[in-house]
Amino acid sequence: MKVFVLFFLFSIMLISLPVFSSDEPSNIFLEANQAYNKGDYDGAISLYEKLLNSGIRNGLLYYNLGNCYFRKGETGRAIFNYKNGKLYSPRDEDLTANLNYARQNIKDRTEIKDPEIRRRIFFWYYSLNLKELFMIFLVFNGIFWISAILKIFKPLPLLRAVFFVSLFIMLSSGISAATKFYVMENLKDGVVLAEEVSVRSGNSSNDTILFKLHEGTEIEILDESDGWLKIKLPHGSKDMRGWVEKGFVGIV
Amino acid sequence: MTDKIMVKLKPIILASIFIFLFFIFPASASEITVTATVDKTEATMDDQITLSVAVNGAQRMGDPVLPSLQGFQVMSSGTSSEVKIINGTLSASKSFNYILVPQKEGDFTIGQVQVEVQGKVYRTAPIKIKVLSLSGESRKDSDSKEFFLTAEINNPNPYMNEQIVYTIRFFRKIPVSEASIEKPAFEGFIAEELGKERELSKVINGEQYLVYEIRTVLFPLKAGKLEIFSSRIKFGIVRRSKSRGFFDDPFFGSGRIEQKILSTKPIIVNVKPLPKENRPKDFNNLVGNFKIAASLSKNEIKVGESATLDLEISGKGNIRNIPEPFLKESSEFKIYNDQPRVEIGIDGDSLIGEKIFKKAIIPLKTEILNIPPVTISFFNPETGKYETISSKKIVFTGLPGGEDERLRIAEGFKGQSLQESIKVLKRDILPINTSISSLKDQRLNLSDPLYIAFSIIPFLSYLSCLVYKKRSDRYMKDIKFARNRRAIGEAKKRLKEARKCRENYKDAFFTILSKTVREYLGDKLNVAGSALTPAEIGERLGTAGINEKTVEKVKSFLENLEYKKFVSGGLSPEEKKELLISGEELLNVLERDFRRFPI
Repeated sequence: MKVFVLFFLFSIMLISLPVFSSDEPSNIFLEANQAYNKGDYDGAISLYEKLLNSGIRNGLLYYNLGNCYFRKGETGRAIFNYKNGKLYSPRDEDLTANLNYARQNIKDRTEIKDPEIRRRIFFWYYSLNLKELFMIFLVFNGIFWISAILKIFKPLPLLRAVFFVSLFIMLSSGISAATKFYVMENLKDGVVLAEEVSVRSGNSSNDTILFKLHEGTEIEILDESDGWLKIKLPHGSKDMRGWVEKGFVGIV
Repeated sequence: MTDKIMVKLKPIILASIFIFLFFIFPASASEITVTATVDKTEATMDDQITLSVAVNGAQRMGDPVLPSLQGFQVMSSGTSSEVKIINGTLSASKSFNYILVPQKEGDFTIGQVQVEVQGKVYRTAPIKIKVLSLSGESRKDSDSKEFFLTAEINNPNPYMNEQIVYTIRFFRKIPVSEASIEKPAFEGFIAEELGKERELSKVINGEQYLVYEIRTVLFPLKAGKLEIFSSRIKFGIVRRSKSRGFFDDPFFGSGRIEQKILSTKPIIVNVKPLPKENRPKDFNNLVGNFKIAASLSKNEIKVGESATLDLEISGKGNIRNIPEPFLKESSEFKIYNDQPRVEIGIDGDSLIGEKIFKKAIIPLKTEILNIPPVTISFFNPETGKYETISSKKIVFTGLPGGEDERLRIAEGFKGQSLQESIKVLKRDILPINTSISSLKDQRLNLSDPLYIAFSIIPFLSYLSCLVYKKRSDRYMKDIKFARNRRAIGEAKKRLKEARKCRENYKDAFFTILSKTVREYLGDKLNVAGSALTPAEIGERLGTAGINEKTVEKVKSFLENLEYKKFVSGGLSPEEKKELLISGEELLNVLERDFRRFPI
């Protein structure tokens, strides 16, 4: 009996060890949330960032981190994190609301055009993240080839319909996923993190200052060299381009 | 896209034009000179100096780099270029023109101007310039009297928020072109245009001038000394060239346009603060002279219906800034605010107007009701005193709303007229997300073998199914093909059988072995194999293109078997084994040859 009790206790210890260890992501997450609710935004930031550094990429995590920075008054970093979050959770309405609110709290007024018509036509591209698009591609890839196989043996009209529908969905999700991947890798957005940065005509601090941008302004990154970024303001302001130091800009 | 191509092609096109010119005029560009000249070396503060940098002997050059010109405001006024061919020699020149406007008096030096021509930097000689003070009024040349610019205010000592008028006048005797006036940024003021710009004519000292006038109303925002910086006008005048030639005709425009810039002196405004004594409690920084009137659209209003109350404040001053007058909430009627209306006009030298605050009044009781007087306070700068004015009391009657009054009220409240849009009181971010699903990794890891498998396996299985299907179709349709393909497998099976029965029956062993080879060949050649004689086999194999040596081997193997079959007395197990092995080898050789020469 005694041996049994001892064994029981030992096994409980073994099971509970990993659960109670503070390095468990869920524990860090809970701690971070508590820190946020208490108002310890710095503590929450370091914990959320620990989670991100451990390789977890999640829109809601970025959302929480953005909230921390917003509460701290660092609107630039808040927008940066909200935008990062949007890459992973494009449909999250809280995230969109907070991002839009943060955008109203910045100094520079820039137009952020909403590609509404495009968003309606290619709704799946704008409302699914890369992983989801790829998953859809995989599923319909499977359905397509299976229907193709069945078609070899029994060419039913229903199979034909399934074949073409799945071919269409597979192609559109595949192309969308590839486009999204390309855009994420090559057409990066940036957010000004410093209070004020000078945009210069070239990639050295001797070049003429063309204009100045303030914290939170969203920019498009065109090129990079020697720790400088060639940037452009999105939409409407075609001539507003120049170089900024990389350190002042968060790259989404 | 085409733009990009053009950008890429542009240097090529330019280069080819350049090369073309170079070959046409081989004797071009012998000597390059760069010179800087000014139109005068002595100027007053009212003047401007034209600096031109001329490059002779070249057509392509970089823009000149001007030295830092302290004491002057520099403006580019364009370039002109000229290409001449004299005695077969090309002479090209280009000049860059700048206007220098003196900012202070004294002696100045225009340093070296640098121009890069064909990879070499040329420098011009420095030029000394003397700027005289304005006081020498007599020194003004005839130029200045042809046109001048003035700015003035009608009251240099206004109260805070009192309106003053800033007038810019441009006097001229000769026609000018492309005039553009640059007003200063009125820092510390609210500015509003007073009417449209006007063209007048005025006589000064017996000379008639055309006057262009712009008036701006300014409301100083704080007390103390405020500076209105200088206004500036930029325009061109047509100068006739001195040499009157054959084409001396206004149509041919033998004149040239000279750029001019004039500026006014800055003006200091001494703004007085509003007096502290007797300041009414509800004073809201309104300065001017105003009247207030209140009117209600109906005297009798049914309960639940609405009438419009107009509060009209009119007068002289910053109309836009009039604050909303305070109207107390009442239990007798409800008040809904509407957008105020502003109308602004001009009365002589000042801005007047009216602002009408509209309110919807809905009685809640059926009796005689009062709208109390509305008061507003302002400071009158003409009298230097605060004044408080109020509207008359308005009396109206609330009437019962008929039989279905209650219903109507209920409907009214349901309908749009009484619905208020949701007011956003304060905005804030939404709270953090505490769901544990926040820890799910949403990244796409393409190197995950599972993904690779899922994306490739369906395709591969399709391919294999396709191959399988094609083959089975062929088996179905084509017996010859099927026999050919199956031959070696069947033969191997029979060999196994032969191996099993080699101990038991001598005849059976030989029969099976012989049959194996025959059937195999029959399958391959698509004939009934067991009926073939060794001779026939040799013949058919020969026509099938099989190696002669192999054919011989097959023949001798089969003949050997026939022979052994009829020899009495059993073979030793070793001999049998040898026969089996040689049979198998023979089949392998045959299969290889058949593969090489498909039938």
